[in-house]
Amino acid sequence: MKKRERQESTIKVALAGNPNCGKTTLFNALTGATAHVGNWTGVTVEKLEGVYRDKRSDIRVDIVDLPGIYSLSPYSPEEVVSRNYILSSEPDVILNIVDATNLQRNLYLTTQIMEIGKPVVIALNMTDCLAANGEKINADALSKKLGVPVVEISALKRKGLKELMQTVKEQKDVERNAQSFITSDGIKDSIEEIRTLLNTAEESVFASIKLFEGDSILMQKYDGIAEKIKEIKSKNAIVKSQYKGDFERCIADHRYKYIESNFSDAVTADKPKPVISKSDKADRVITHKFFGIVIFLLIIFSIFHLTFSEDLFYMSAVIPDGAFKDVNKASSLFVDSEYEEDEEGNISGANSIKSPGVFLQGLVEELSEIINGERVVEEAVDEEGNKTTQVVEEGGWIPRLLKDAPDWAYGVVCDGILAGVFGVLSFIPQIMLLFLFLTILEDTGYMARVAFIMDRAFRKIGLSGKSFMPLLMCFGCAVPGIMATRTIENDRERRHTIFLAPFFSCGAKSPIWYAFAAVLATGVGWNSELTVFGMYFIGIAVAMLAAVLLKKSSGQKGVTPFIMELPAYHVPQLRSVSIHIWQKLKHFVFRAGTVIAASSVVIWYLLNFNFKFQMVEESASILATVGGWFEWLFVPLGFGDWKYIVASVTGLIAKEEVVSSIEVLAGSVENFVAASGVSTAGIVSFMAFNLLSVPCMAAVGAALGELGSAKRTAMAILFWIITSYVVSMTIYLVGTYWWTVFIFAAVIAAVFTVVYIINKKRLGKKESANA
Amino acid sequence: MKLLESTIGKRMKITDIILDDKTKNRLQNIGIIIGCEVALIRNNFGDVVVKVRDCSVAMNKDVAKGIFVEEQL
Repeated sequence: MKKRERQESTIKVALAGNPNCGKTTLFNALTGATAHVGNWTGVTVEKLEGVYRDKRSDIRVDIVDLPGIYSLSPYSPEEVVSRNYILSSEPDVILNIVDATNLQRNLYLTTQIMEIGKPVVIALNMTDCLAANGEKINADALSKKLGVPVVEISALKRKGLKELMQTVKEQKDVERNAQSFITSDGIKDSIEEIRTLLNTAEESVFASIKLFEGDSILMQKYDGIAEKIKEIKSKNAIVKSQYKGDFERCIADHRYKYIESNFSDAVTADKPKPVISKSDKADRVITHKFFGIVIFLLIIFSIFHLTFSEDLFYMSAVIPDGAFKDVNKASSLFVDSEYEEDEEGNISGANSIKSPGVFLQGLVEELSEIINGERVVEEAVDEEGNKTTQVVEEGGWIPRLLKDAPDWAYGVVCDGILAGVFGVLSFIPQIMLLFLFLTILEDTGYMARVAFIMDRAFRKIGLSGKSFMPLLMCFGCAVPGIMATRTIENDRERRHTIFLAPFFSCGAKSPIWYAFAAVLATGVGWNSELTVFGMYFIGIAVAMLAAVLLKKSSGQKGVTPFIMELPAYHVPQLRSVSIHIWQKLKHFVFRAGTVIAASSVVIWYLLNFNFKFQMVEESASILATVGGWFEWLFVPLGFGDWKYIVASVTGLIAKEEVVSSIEVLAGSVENFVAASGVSTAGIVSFMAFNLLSVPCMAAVGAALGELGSAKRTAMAILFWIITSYVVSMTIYLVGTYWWTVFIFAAVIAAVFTVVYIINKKRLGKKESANA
Repeated sequence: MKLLESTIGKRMKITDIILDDKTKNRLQNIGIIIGCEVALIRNNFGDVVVKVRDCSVAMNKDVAKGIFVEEQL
C-alpha cells in the first residue's frame, strides 16, 4: 500500500524541444542542477534526470532533460535518445519548450508531439527576449488553438516556473487524446487507412503518420504489414502529383502550412522587422571567407597569450630593461623581476609584465612554498669532531611540523602527497582561465560560426565543420569532447573524430608543457610561450595528417553535407559561465585531493621500497626495476630512462599525474631533467609522446561508450600508441641527426602514396560494383 | 535560379530542392521547404548563411547548390 502512495505522488516530466531553446537552462532552474549550458546545437547529448521540489506540496516531480530535436524523425544518435524516451511509457507529462523568438520552427516539433496521446504542457520560453525586440506573443490564443496549456516563462530569469510546475501537476491526470494537424482530405484518408492496420492500444495516430512518411524505425517494427502500407501509399494520388511521390515532404508541407495559416500572426511587432538584423550584420564580418579566419586566429592567439604569456602584450619592447629589478616580493608576482647583468654592468630582463594566467600560477606556487617549502638542513662536523646541524632554510609549515618525524613519515607526506598534489594545483589557474575563455566564446554563440568557417578546411581532411566543436572541446577535456561527437551524423566521421580527440591537448596535459617549457627556457633559452604553443601546434598538425590518412584508408568518398543553425548572439550569461567554471574547478581539485594524492603515495612507496619491502635507494626500487625492463623500447624515442616511462604510464590515471609523478620522483621537473641527462630532442619527443599517446582512462572510457565496441576501442588505442611512437621517434631522430629528415620525409611520402593508391583501387572496385 | 546566384539580403522564395532524401529531411526539420521564404546573408565560395523563418542557418556548398529560388512578387 505504502509503495503505491509514493508512486501516486511522483510525476515524471520529459523536457522536449528544439536544440538551443533553453531546455537545460530550465532544467537547471527547476532542479537546482548545474548541467552545462552552451549557445549552440548539441550541448546536451544524453538524458539528464533531476528532481523539482516545492516546499508547500508533497508531490515530487522528476524532470528529464533530453537532447534537442527538430522533429521526431531522428537524424543523429543523440536525437534517437530523445525520441525513444518521449515515446516510451515513462514520462507522465511532456513539457514542450518553445522558443518564442523562433515560433514557427519550434511549433513544427510541437505538431508532432501533439500526435502522442499524452498530457502536453507548452512552456513558452524567451518571451523576455521577444519583448526586448518590441514584439509580443499571445499565449492565450496559442493555447486555445493547440488545445493544451501554454505557460509563459523565462528560464534564464527564472520567471513563471512555479506556475509552470503547477500546470504540469494539474495536467498529470488529464486524459489527452492524440491530435493530428494533417487535416487535408486526400492525405488524412490514407493515414486513417494505415491506422486501421495497427494495434490501436499503441500510439496509433503518431505511428500511422510516421509510417505514411516512411519512418525507418517504425517500418522495421511493422515489417509484417509493410506490403499493405506500401499499397495504401501507392494509391495516394496527391502525393504523386503534387509532391513527386515524396511522402516526407508532403507531411512536412502540411505541418508548416498548418503553422503558417494559424500562427503567422501570433507574434505582433511594434515596427516591421528588417531582413538583416544586428546579429546578421555581425555575421557578415565574422563568417567572412577571409576576415572570419583572421578573427578566429586572433582570438585563439589572445586566449593563449593571456593564459600563458610571461610578457603581456609584448610590453617588454617598450619598457626599459631592468625597470622592475628592485620591486618587492609581492609585486614580483605581477612583473618579472629577474635580470641578467653582463660584465659591463648592462642589465637585460626585468622589464616584462606577467599575463593573468602566469600571475595566478605564481600565486598558487607561493602558497605551495608556504605550506610545503623544502626544509634544507646542512650537517657539518666541527674541529672537535662534533656533528652540528645548521638549518639553511626553515621550509614550509608542514616540513617544519614534521621535522622530528621519522624519515618515512616525512617522505610520505612531503615528498609523496604534497609534492604530487601541489604539482597539479599550481597549474589549475591556467587550466581554469583557458576554460573560462572557451566557455565565454561558446556562450556568446561564436563557436557555431567558427564551425561554419572551419567546415571548408575540415572537408579537405575528410571531416566536416560538425567535428570542429567536439575537437575544440577536447582542448578543455577529451571526455565531453568525445561525448559531443554524438552530434555528428555520419558514422565514419564520428569514429575518426574520436580517434583524433586526444591530439587536441587537454587542460590536464598543459601542466606537462608548461613545466617542460620552463626547463627548456632556462636550459636552452627557448621562449616558453612558443614551446607551449608549439605543442598545441604539433597536436593539430598530427591530427590533420592522421585525418587524411584515416580518410584515405577508409575507402569512402565524400563528407556529409553541413547544415547547422547559427544561434543569435547574446552577452555571456554570468550564471551559466560561472557554474561551468566552478564545476570544472571542483572536478580538478577533487581529483587532486583523491586520485592524485592516493597515487602519489603509491608512487612514492614504489620508488622508495624494493620487492622485499625494504626502504632502499631509488635506483634499487620496485619502479626502477620494472621500468628498467622497458627502457630499450624507448631508446629510439630519446628517453630510454625508467623515470620517464613511469611518468608516462601514470598519465593514464590522469594526465596531471605526469607532472606530479615527476615531482615525487625528483622533487622538481628541473632536477628531473638535469639528473636524467636526456637531450633537448629527447625532451620534446617525450612531450610529444605524452600528447599523442593513449589519453587518460576517463577519456578511453568515453571513447568506448561512443565507439560502441571493445574491438573499435582496441583499434583506437593501437592507433594512438603507433602514432605517438612514430611521431616521437621522428622528432627525436630528426632533432638529433638532422639529415634523417630526408629519410622520414621519404617514408611518410611512401606511406601516403601507398594508402592513396589502395584507396583509389577500392573506390574503383566499389564504383564498378555499383555500375 | 539557384539560391547561390541570388542577391545578398534579398527575400526569395524556394521553388525546388534537389538533394538526397537525408539532406532534404534535415532541411525540412529546420524549416527549409519548398514555398518558404529565404534570404542569403553570406556566400563564401558557395558555403552560405541564410535567413529562414527568422533564424540563421549555415550550410555548405553541396547543400546550397541544390536549392532553387525565385523572386517574390
